[in-house]
Amino acid sequence: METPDRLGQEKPAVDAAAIERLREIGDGDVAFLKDVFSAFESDTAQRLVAMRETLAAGDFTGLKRAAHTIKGSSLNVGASNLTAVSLQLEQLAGSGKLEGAAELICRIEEEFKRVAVELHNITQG
Amino acid sequence: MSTKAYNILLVEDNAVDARVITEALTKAGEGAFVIQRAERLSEGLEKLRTQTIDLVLLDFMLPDSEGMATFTAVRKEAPNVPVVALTGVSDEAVAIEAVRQGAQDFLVKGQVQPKTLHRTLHYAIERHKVQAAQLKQVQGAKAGKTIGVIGARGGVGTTTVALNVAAALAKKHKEVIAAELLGSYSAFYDPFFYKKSRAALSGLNTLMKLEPDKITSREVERCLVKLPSGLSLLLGPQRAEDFKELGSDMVDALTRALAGLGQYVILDLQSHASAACQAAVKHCDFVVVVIDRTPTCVVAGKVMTDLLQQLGVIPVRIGVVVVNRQPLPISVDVAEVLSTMGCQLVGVVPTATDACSEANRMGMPMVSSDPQGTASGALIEIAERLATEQVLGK
Repeated sequence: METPDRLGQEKPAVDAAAIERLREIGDGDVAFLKDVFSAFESDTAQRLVAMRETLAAGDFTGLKRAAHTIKGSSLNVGASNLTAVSLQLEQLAGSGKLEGAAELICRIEEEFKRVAVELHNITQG
Repeated sequence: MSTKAYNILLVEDNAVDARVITEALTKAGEGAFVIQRAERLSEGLEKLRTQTIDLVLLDFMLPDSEGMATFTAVRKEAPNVPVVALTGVSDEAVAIEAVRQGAQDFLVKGQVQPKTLHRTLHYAIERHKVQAAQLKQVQGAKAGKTIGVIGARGGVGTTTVALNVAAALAKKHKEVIAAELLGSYSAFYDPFFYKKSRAALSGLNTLMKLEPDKITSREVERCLVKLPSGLSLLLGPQRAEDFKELGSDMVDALTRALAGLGQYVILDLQSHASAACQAAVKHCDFVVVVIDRTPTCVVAGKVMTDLLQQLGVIPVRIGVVVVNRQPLPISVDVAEVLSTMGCQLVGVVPTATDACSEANRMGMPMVSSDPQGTASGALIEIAERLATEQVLGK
């Protein structure tokens, strides 16, 4: 499936500049990086569950809020694709629509997996 | 900088943002900040009620409150605690609204650099202190306050901003003077008089013939043009034979005399670092740098703020007005403007080509010809903000 989204996935899931920013903030402290990544992973996993639930319940506000949170968290770790898709979902839910939301959630899930792998490699490397 | 640690209340539900901001403040802050966090607005309000907080870093999207309502609730609970808004990448509009309504500044989460964060918080706290201290003695203060308006470069609408701010102030206050401190062709003359007559009006041309030590408030008052709206103008020369370089001695004398005459004096300053401009900013209680949103203009604005600081204007007395000119090929967002320029936002003026032409046709500032327009609304708000801001003492 050669869609534009597919092309988007060819670039890394995580921007190096954002990681550099975190390293600078933590003054090179690896424990801080791990802390941020683990907060990102556990929080995003929770929000994904919430997304499924709110979508099933037709709860726009809850869905918008979950997307907003993932958007904010992903921006910190430089997961720009994830930020972009979450923003799309936040805006969709904010406009009171649910059509296409399930697909966006799937994309968020997939992208989240890619991000998690890359973050893992960063702390291991 | 103070050696006492500031108590910062971080109201933020996002765990990742909270972790990153806390780290940035503690590690590089070298003990300057003590941070406590609230995840919900209710929890934040409770802490504001029971503890001494120096500044609130406030996310507007919380589990129990969203948007401006969050800010309003904090303001109501703690009107004397400065607030810096935390905003997401796509929520700039709410942040700008918050600044309009009294937030000291805003930061875009996920992008802010530790240095910017520190500087923003320190400035916000210090600025708030100065404002609060001076606010106590504002009523009854007799000497006029001087606000300089300077373009990051030519053609950004500096004169329009200066004249409209002055006209807006003149609606509410007595003795408002708009003065242009330039020795060549007057930028004030045409907007008001070009339809009426080409006769040169007395202004700087007359004053420039005097020695600086002969420039008194009385002499200057004679050269003011009083408009029916109550606004007084000090016009630059209108004929080539009157053009002359304004020296710093002359500017010192003029600004002093003007401050003795007006409750508010708005100086329209040239966008290059002329001797006149350098002398004038030293007399200003506040300096507004006017820019448009082109990347080159933002950089010019940064250079201008650096220059102002080199001239001794302290950062909390510098603010930026962003003029949204007609469709620009590349437009810089306001958050980036502020982080590049490192100063506070005074306001954003929306595009108003038609209202501008109409104002010119009618020979009056936009805030008078089109008081209900959105651009006028923004300019009136800017004037009000400056009226509060300018209580900073000299």
